[in-house]
Amino acid sequence: MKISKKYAWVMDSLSRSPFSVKARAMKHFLSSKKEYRPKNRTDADIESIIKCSLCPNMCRFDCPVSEAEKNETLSPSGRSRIAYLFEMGFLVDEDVPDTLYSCCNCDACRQWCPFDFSLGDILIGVHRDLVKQNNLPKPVLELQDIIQKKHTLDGKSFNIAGKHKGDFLYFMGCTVMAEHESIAKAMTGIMDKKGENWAVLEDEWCCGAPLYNLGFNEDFVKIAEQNIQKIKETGCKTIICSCPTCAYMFKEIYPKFNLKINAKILHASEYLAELSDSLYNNSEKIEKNCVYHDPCTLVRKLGIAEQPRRVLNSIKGLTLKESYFHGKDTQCCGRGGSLGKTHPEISDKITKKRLKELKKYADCIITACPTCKSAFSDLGCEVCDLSELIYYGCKKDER
Amino acid sequence: MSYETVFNQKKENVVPKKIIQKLKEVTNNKVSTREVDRVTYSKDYMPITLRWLLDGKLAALPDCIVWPENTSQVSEILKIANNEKIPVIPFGDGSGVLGGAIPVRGGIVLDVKKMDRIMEIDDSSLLTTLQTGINGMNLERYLNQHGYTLGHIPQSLYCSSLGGWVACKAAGQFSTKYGKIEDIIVALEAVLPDGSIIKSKKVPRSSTGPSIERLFLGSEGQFGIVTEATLKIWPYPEKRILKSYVFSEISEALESVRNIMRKNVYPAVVRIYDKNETLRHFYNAPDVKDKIMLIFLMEGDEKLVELENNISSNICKLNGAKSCGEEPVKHWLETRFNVRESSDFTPKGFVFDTVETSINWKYALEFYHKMIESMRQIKGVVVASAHASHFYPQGVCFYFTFGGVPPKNVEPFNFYQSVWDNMMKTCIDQHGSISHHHGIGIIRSKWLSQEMGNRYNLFKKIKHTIDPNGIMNPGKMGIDNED
Repeated sequence: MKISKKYAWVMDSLSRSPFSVKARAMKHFLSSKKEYRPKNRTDADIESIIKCSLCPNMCRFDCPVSEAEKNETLSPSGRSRIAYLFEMGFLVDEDVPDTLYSCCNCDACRQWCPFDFSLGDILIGVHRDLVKQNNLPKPVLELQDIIQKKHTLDGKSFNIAGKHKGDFLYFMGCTVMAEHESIAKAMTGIMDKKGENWAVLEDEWCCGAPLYNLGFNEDFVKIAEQNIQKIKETGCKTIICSCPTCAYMFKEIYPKFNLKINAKILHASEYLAELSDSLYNNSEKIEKNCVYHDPCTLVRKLGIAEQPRRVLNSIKGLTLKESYFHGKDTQCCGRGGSLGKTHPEISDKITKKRLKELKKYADCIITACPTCKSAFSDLGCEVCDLSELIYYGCKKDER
Repeated sequence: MSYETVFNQKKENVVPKKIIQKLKEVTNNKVSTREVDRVTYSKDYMPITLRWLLDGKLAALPDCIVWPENTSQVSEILKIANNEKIPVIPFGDGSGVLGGAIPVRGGIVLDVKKMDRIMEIDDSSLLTTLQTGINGMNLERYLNQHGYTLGHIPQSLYCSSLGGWVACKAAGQFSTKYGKIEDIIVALEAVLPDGSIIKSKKVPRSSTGPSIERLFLGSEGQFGIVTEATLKIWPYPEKRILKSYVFSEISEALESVRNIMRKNVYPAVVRIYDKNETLRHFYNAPDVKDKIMLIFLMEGDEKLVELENNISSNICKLNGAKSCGEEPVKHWLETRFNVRESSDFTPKGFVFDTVETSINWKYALEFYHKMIESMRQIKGVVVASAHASHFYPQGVCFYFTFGGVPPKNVEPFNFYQSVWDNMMKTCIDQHGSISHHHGIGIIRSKWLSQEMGNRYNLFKKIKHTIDPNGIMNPGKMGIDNED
């Protein structure tokens, strides 16, 4: 058994202990894997849930849900404790499922976790168990139903005029299709200006992220397989996503299910950052103070912070302000992880808090995630996607 | 199969519905009797409760939880509870390790987390006034954002609240320079069990009779609920110097720090690790096996910090120190909030805890050895170690850690209590104080009267005068032990 240098202090202490204590300690060490496990087979990552539930909540101060509600049950370790008691059969209560779905999957907790856990990730297995038991809150069932029937998050979609075969596939994402046609027009307009051979899907479906996060594994795989097939038919070499979550799903989650996409996957901000300076130099001067909001998935799951700033810094006249909570220290817009659908009240509180913080720096907010844009603009705020800023030069009337 | 409770056996809510309704009326419906909430408010961070959790045992269920948003709501809640003689348990972030926030008699858990407003920063007087539900890290980040620091950085910074610091008389890692919470707090507002509100003046000092409000420091919710506090703040330090040294023996490191304190030099962070803890925390540093690590972090005005560094460095060298540079201190800064041992070892059957004590220099070295021995005397103890982390010209705080596996046929809680009992007895016998900054809660209750001597009766009289119905946090500090 290889013992990490990290535990040399325990081995040093053990070596000084009497044989009977040593033997008992070793027995506990070796048998611990079998203890504290549910009797029946589950999908839950019980080892991580245990570790999280035994922590004094070291990430609580940065968890948007916990901070919005101020309830121990909704603190990160609190939810893990409930998950553990539920999985072990110690707690059967009607409020358990709702509690375990109240996460915006923003990964803020990971920043402070000595185990590099994200609560959103470790709850996915628990969600799968809840799905198997058909023990689900109504909003979760409604979300599943709409995606299954309409194939998008909001049941809304539009088709943007364009070819269905090309080198670059522009993947809009559900929120662009439902609420931000202007982002799609901006992105395709920029690609036109650049002279790219771009395409869009004839009938774009959801990337499957909500189904994956909510624990509907089989439904997720079906939708993902369908996406793989449709993407293949376009013959694209690069996929450009406006939504960071779509890019993350294609890049990181699909491969975990052996669903491989044979194309380079870029988030829109990565594509925009690689464009020649001439595109910006020819654009209109934008005399404006703006603050950039880092979307959680983009900065924490995909590690993209520099590219959007590179774009913003190259726009003539624009003054970029930084929130104290920027980069990986960003704060969720409130709509991450389907929270806007499953827990709209909590989601709204988180949005208001983030908006208040951003407004300290500038009235105009720039972001690179359509969901963040929806969250802020629904509260009446002036908010622009990076692509819109470039294409429309922030002129509201053209959008 | 369902969970069990350790301290109270009732699972059904016993606070009458009409009282719940009254509580809802005064708090804008911020009351819960949901089972999931009663389950999560059944414990704080008393380490044995972690083992219980894994075994499906909860410490004790409250009847309901209330979330007031301001002082007047706290006052109304306490009036209701006092009239009905219902226990009230104040709850901040629940990071206390002695069981001080466990609702052992059921009742109302009063969570102050929604009371987290920062009312004022007074730059000219270097003061901030705020509600006590604020989380430590959120407070420190707010202050840093505005160019200040509180200088109160406990390891629980991320998971503890201002109210908890006041209630348990907390100390932070930078306390040798900035002081403990009693040095940092200037004024407070508190609600008494009958709902009346007291408030002290935000002045540097006054000679106007006893500082009655100071009774609340370390009172662990016995006298009422602290709702607001005014704290000292400092401009964010312009310079930091990091230094570390290794010694062959703990006596040399202690002697070095004692002499530094005698020079009236107060580095912000001073920490001495015994041989086992040096191996635990600095396993990546070269040549630390069988050594004692001493780290310093000095911060403030550049010239002053350099002077502090020169004085401390000379004293350490005179006492046989070998310099280890900045790296061990950087490592400490990076890892000081990595609380992972409880998650790693509890599932492996380990029972552990930490015990912080206070002792004068005159007895310090012998005290350290006797306390280590007192842990080792209990069969099953594997780890028995310590570091010293808060220093005074008069003495030092030793922070002991024990961990082990209960012998066959010994219940984990009995094993746990045996180690605690032996340590507490040794501490009192060896002239120490049984707690430096964690407080009393449940675990230390039975030792408090010995620790306080005749003062304990006065404490009880004050408690009964302020809280004649005994509603505030019952079952703690030995005040009304039923068992």
